[in-house]
Amino acid sequence: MKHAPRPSVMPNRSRVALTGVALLAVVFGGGGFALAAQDKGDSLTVTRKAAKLRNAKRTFAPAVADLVEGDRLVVEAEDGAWFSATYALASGPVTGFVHKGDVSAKKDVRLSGEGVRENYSSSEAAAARKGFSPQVEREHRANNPGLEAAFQAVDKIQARVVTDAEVFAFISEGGLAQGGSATGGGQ
Amino acid sequence: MNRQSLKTYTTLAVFVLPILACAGVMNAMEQATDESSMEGKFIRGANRMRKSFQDLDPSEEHFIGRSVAAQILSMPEYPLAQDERLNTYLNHIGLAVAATNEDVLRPFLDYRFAALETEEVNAFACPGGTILITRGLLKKASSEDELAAILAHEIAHVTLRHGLEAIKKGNMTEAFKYLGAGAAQATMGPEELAKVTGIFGDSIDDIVTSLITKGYSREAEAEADALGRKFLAGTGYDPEALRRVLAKMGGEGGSGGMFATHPSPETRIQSLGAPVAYAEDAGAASKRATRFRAKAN
Repeated sequence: MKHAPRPSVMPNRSRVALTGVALLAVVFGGGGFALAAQDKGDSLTVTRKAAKLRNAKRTFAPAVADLVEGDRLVVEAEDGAWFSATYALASGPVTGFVHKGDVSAKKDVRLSGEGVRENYSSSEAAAARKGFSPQVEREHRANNPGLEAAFQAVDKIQARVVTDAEVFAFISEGGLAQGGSATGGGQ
Repeated sequence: MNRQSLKTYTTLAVFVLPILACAGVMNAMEQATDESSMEGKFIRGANRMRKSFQDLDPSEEHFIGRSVAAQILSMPEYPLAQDERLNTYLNHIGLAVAATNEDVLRPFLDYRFAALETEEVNAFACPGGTILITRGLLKKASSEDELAAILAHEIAHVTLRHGLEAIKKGNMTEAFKYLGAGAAQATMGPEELAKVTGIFGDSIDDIVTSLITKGYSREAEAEADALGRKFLAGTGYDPEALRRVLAKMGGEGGSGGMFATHPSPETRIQSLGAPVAYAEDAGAASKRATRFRAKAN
């Protein structure tokens, strides 16, 4: 038996209520890191050009290992916005904290190939070239030679070096992040 | 809409939106719900969105953002400001906001901020974290906290991936024919590379059109204001600085730029709702005032 169709126009009051609820969800839910729950032993891949494995779950906690795009870690536990994870250094495994926004649990995550280590396997490097990649940017630039000077300006903006120590000093000097996750750290 | 339907939508909005990006959870919810039910339709709709722009990986977002920034900087009306002191200051403020809020999206490269030498009141949050702010907009800020409010709003746009959302569904669908998971196992031949590059260029055009001409939706701006204010508080800046800078924009008025692409400052202030309490540390505020005078003028 077919039911009569429901009216599709949402009353204004309901629409306002939904928008409000959506805003609350954005504010309280945030949206920065996108990983579902992971289990101990699961594999993670670093998706940023560079990241750090830290000795505590704080932005400016000292690093126990420097990570680059494509590096693999093994989950030990989840802790809020962070994973406790193990990384295999040449000198032996080291465990620390990596931010969830620095890694992906996807097996087919697309990497740029720009930050990967020299020993990254050729098959993985080939997969890395698929997608919106450096190769596609090169082709896009070749098709649009008028953008070349602007791309050089973008390179200049992105090449600016700002160290953790600089940002930490700026925060401290301005009396910022009182009680926040950035306090109480070093490099 | 009856009361029961509203309750269902409200419950879904509260629980579904914050986890919209969690692929595993969303897939599990899709499997657990009936396709014909209201909940099933809502979740399938959300999943379709994730399978479009949400499914781009950080490095892809980075390359899209680079080309968006290049297209903006190629326009004669948006020259890069060569003011090293100001650009350094902007990067310190913006990176302080990004570093002190754990739910800020962490892009492939760190966020970078640069001023544009124009009196137009505008700012452009490129996917991947390159953020361009005009002199005209910077002049609306009377303090470091207000400058941080402008940057926090733009960081919120990047975090909420509003730029990618501007890519037309058709372009995204076309892109995923070539960039699907299965296809990631091989390199691209010349024909495929040409096709993907064409889609890439069309996607850049979609985003630039949205940034320069059409603007984001009123809801997207309200989301970025709300999240930006949360980021301000997280860093220890006065969250009400956003309201002050908007009030200044409204009071002085203007045309073009942000005045054409954003809801009116009055509407944005209304969307902010009740003021948020802030306990100012006079000593810290004085130090910030000193460095603002020295670096932002």
